[in-house]
Formats: sequence, structure tokens, C-alpha cells
Amino acid sequence: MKKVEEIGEINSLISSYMKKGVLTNNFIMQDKYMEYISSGSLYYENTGKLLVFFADHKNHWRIYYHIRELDTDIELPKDKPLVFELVYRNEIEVLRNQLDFWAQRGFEPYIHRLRMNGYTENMNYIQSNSTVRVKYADSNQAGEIQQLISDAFDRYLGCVPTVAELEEYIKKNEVLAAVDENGRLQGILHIGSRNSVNFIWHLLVLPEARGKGVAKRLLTHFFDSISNSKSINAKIQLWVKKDNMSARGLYESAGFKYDGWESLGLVREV
Amino acid sequence: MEELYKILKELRPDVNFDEKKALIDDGILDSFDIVALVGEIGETFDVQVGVEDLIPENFNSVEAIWTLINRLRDGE
Repeated sequence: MKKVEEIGEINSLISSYMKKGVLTNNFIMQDKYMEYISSGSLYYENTGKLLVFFADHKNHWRIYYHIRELDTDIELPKDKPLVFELVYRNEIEVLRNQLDFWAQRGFEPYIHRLRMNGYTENMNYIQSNSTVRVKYADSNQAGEIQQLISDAFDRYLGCVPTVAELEEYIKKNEVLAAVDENGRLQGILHIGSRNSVNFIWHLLVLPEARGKGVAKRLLTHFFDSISNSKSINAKIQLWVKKDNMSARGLYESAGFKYDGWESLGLVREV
Repeated sequence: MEELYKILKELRPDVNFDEKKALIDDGILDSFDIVALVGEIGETFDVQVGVEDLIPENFNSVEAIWTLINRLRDGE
């Protein structure tokens, strides 16, 4: 694998692959390329028919590929798992040739997510009987919250933050914590925003607190905070596991709707 | 510009591009749409969209996308 040292190399590599008919899962924009390159974590292999970028995510290689011809092959690293995402809006079958190509190289689908959108004007303020109190998380909760997210979300594609990253999110008031009368954590909601779009990154409720309306309280608090501070009809976006029916039911009852985009995560374990 | 509208409408038939003016800022188009769009733009207008152009500002409106296409055409 060769390391990408500067952004200009990307153009040289990608230029012959930026054509209709080339199969790709690469949706990263300039800012993400810069982030990878500046941290020295982007590598590539290029056969002329197949270009693969490898981004070092510590516990796995994240791959972004461009396939011009399917009758080609490439040396893949074996030191840690390889993971990639296929994001699509049509039927998955239109991606069959890509799935077969990577299946022949040991990749298997393991996580399937749907994207949902909501708008603050259409949000349903769902009733909750929960007695938890919702507040912004404190920095001294970062370690506990990080462990909860790490346990609940996918270690490769779940956007699991480090403790240091979580401390930054907490400082920016992007982590809501639901606590009981003894101050014990019952659930958390990790949010973010980019331009006018708000994101739900992680929503979780501790097992012993489930079924008591904690998630509804967190969501309602979040909707209130957006409605108070943002422009009218702010958009909220999230990804949810397709087989997580209770989460999907919760979001639908709150007014979120599936927007047609789906994501399939594939992994080749060591 | 008509050809660009046609591409956009095929990509996102649910969006009224005559009305929407902040395509990225308002979350109407995201990176997945942009990647699909870049391939179509490249083929239709015979231009090469480089990584340095993959920034939200270049895709925030139909006018911005058209400006990008013309700049690339003039630069070649």
C-alpha cells in the first residue's frame, strides 16, 4: 500500500475513475480527505482497473473503492479487519455485481441501516411517563458514556467516539443525559449539527431503564432545544438499524420518516 | 443549464430545484447525491470535477453548480 501524502495525489488517482459506469462506494468530500491525509492515515492501491483507498481507523481499515473493470484483483491487507459501506437509494440488487465482487474476496454484509428524516414542524411530542431528569452531560460522565456507546453501537461503523472526543461534544452541549432521582445515568442522546441539519448520532437507554419512556423524554428535550434556538422547520436526520424495530417504532411515532437511503456495511475479518 | 436541471431532476425527482436555493445548507443534497451528480456532470459536460471542487459551496444551488461546470469548461 502507498501512503497519500497530499491532496493533489487524490485527483491524479481518481481522475480516470470519475466516469459513469465506474462502480464506487466513495462518497467522501474534500474535508474528509484532508482529515485523513493530515493525520497520515490514508493509503491506496491502484491497478488501473481498480482503485482502493484504505483509511486507518485503528481497529479496522475503512475502504473506499472505484472499480472500472470487474476482472481485476488487488492485494488486501491482512493485519486487521477491512470494512466498507455501500450507501444506496435504489434496490440493493442494482449493486449485485459489487456485492459479488467483494463476496469473492471474503467480505460479508453484517449491518443494514436505514436513514430517517424529521422536521421540527412535524415532530410529535410523544407522551412519556418517565420521571427522569434530562440535562446536558457533565465532562465527568464522559468515560461512562463512552463505554455505553461502545457497548451498544457497532465498533466499525457506529461512529463510536473516544473519551477525548466525547469530552469535546459534552463541552459543546451535544450530549444529553437522562438521570434518575439519584443522579444515575438512565439514557443518553448524542446530537450534532452541520449547516442547518441536525443529527442524532447515538440514542441509548440502559437495559434496566427500558420501557419507561426515557428515550421519549430525551427526544422531546432535543426537539424543544432545536425549536427554541434554530430557524423554523429544522431538519433532523438519523440512521437506524433496519432490524431494530423498537427504535424504528419510536422514531416513527415521533414523526420521522424513512427517506429511501440505506446503508449496508460489509466486513472481512482477519 | 437545462441539461443540468434534467440531471438534477433525474437524480432527485422529489426536489423542486426551481424553488430550493440552499441545497447543501438545508440538507436537500448530501455527499451521496454529490458523488452521483459529479459522475453525471463529468459525462454530460465533458469536465473533470477534482477533489478540490468537492466542497459544499460548489453544490449549494443550481447556479453554483452551473458556475462550477462553466469554470471547469473554461479552464480546459
